[in-house]
Amino acid sequence: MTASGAEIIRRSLWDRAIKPTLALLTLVVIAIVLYNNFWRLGFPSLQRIAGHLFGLTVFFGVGCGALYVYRAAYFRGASPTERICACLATPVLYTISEVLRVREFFSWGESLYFGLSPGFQLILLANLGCMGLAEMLCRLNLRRKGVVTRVITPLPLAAVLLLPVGVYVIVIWGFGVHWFYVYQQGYKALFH
Amino acid sequence: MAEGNGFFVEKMTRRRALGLIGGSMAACAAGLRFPRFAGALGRPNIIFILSDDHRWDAMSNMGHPVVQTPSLDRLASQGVRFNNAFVTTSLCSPSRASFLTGQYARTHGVQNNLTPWRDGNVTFLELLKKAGYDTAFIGKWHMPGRLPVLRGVDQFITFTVQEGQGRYFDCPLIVEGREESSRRPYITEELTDRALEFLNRKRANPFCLYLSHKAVHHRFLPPPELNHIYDQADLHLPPEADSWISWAKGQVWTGVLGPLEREYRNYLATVTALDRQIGRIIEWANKSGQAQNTVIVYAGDNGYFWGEHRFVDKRWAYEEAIRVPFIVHYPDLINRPGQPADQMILNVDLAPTLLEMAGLAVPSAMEGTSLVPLLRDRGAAGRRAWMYEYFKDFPYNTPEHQAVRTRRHKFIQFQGGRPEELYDLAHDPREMRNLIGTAEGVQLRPELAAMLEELRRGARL
Repeated sequence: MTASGAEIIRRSLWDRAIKPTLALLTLVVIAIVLYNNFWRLGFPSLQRIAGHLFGLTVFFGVGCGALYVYRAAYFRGASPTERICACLATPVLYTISEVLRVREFFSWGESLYFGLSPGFQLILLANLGCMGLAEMLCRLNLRRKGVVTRVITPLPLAAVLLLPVGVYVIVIWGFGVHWFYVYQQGYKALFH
Repeated sequence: MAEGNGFFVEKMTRRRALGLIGGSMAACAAGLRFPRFAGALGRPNIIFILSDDHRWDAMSNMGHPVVQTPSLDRLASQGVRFNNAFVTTSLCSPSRASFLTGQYARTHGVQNNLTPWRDGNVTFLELLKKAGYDTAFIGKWHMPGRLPVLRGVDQFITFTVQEGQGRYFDCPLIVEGREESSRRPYITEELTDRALEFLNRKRANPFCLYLSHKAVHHRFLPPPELNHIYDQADLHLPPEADSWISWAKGQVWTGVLGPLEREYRNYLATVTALDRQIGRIIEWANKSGQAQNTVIVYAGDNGYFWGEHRFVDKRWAYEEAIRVPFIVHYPDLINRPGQPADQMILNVDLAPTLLEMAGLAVPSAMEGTSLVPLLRDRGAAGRRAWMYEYFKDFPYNTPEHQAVRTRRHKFIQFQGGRPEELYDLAHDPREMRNLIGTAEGVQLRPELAAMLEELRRGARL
């Protein structure tokens, strides 16, 4: 999934991987804080708009942020490993923050298992799908600029196709109930 | 309405008299609590209708700005609506078990959606059956573990699909242990049909019907004809709510995935659909001439947040989750019908109430208190305080907690390090200002903490 080194200048690690990661992470953190606390500011007429704005920013930032990070890292010369790490940073940190948050309610083991729950599975799959899509979009971009490259290859395609399969199993199959109970069976087996 | 005062004028047969005398002696020997109402000779028919997730104010007789519930309004205007009815645990399975057994979750053992129903649990249906009632359990069972063989239940119709949650449309039923297709597409209509079949049976005995609806639980699906009835309504959602609140802070588990407004409109339409079917039951009671001597109780198994405290779902000890609709219609007993009661009552009170109405002793293991005195006299003394309890229910993001709720205050203690909360419900009914740490809180806390401790030890206040 690498781009041709001839067309893309490899920038510093800060520029090629950390900066796009931090840009997304900062956006998501600000959106989370505003989403959870905007109502306290006392603008009831704006609450609904704020809910849409900040809520959807969190949703798409955590779920689909890889679309931005991957492409930014790609065209700044990041290696595949760097791109993947950069893309996973925000969803993984979000998951870790949720695991730490639920420590209030659950034991360490349960909290870690919570981090493997269907919602986070979906976040991971969504980001993998976005990475696959972003890879192919980047290649298409290069091809338009005259670089000889195959746009569709098995790995990014598989990553993209995994997403609808995951959505079906996790969300659509029994409206999410069946997969949830599979997950719950795992919980019972581990903790009961 | 049917004529006559069936409860008080029902004739005493020799067999029934011997049964009552024998039963009374056995009860005394067993140390049962004798109800004040036990001297009455009649045995009313009983219809208990339980809904799912119907919060206390989602009825037009409570002044709800949107939802229309003419049948429940009628029931309330001819009976007694309890304005302060609560559940001791705001979660379907524990609350349902509490209605059935008259016990707290810590006693009957169904503490969350993982701990199974104990076969040793005694239900009011079992006791009524022993006293000669025809009994039926129709509808949602939904308690962890295998489907039980319910003692004392002549007819058991339920469903097991979606892990016992059932489906709104084309839900297969388990009828006496065998799977049957639904004859009606919409589950609330199907369960009502089945209930009416039970009610229409010819019988010599009084009956007790436990009709337990799936409605109005998530996914809040009304029948097609009611699908969009509240689409244009102004919903009056709380100021802290927004459309995507169910995606925040682990609430995605509730399954409420759409925009809050859409889900709430569907919820209200589903309430109206349920109300229509309750109307069919009321109509049956009137047309069959049995209304006078039939107790109809309508209750919800727990409340529901629609954005309050930035929550959806239930579980927490805040008013929206713990308050339920609770209406009793029983012309033979109720003085001044239509006058609501303000005393605090609980789901665990149902079983003792029905037993007392049937003239039966209330087992000392039951932790509720009969509502009969309140039905007779709305000025009668109610309880001073009661305990709410919530147990861990992985993966739902609610800490285990206990609370004491008095007529004016609420004090909550959480496990896991979350600070205590104390509210003055008279001045802060939405529970937005925690008094812990304030001068008022410092003054109030010791008494409330002591009260909670007393209640934990099983005291009745």
